[in-house]
Amino acid sequence: MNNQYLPQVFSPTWPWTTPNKLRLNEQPQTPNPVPQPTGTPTSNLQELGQLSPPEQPDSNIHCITIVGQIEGHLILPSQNKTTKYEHVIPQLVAIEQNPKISGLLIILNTVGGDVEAGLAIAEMIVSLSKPTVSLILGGGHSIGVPIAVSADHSFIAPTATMTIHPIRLNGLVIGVPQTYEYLDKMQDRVVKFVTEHSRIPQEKFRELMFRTGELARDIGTVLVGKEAVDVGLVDSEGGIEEALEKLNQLIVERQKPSKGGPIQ
Amino acid sequence: MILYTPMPLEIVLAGSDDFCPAYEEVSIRGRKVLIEKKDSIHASIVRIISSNPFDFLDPALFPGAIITFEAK
Repeated sequence: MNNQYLPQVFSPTWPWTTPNKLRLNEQPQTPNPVPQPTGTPTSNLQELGQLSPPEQPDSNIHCITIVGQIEGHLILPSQNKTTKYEHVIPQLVAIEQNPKISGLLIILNTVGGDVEAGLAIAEMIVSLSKPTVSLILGGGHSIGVPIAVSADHSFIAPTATMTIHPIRLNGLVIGVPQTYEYLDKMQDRVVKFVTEHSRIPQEKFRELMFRTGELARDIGTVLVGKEAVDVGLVDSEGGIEEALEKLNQLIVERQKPSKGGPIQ
Repeated sequence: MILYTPMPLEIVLAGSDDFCPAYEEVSIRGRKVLIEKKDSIHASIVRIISSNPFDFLDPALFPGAIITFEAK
């Protein structure tokens, strides 16, 4: 692609600032003297030469992948692969509202990230009225743990790992007792959420979190596959087949009328 | 990140310090995608932001696919 004549700026005014010989299509272009309202740089452009999408039925199961760092209040440098709060939350709202969607599968391979963003996503998944199943592949560390347990049923791949360790404070830390109190409070939010939405008792989770001798440069524990199930953090060990089977089962169960007294 | 590879680390991570891609979020046929601009009218698809698994089966939206823009 010879781009030496093309403007470097990807701007809405492109067709009228480019030399004529570079116009790709031969259709006469009528210059629009009225300046267009500026939106996103591509808002007055459309694609060219594309096939129309293949017709396919709508999936009744939607899937959200949580990968890399969970990004909340701060934008991370571009070499980080991130799952953004503002992408996930509207999707969860849409899934809750769309009557064609009957279940949600959450696939996790995350190294943790922003505590508030992670807890926000987890709270959204917990309060979803539709059946949810989570599957941890690779890793569901730190703040990935509350997201994993927030689903109605959680699965972990046999080789996947979960690291449980204390929360750390970044930036300015003032050496006063209040700093500890604050940190403890932040940690309690995570501990409370995890223990309320999984089978693990609070004492056991705290014990794993503050265990020494397991991690070389930190305190905490790494749980691999079945170990996470054994301590009661994750419901079962499995892969995509088991996860989808469970999700379909939960969907059928939820669609059945309740077996309570006769509704008159 | 834990790497498990026989390749030397300086080869694997070469250029990672000055890697700063300029990604942009656009909507293509109602689907939100992350694109990386190649020049003023071409861009390649980096990521599809969707919870609908079938959106990932559209060949025009496969990661790496080149999209071309034209004036309306």
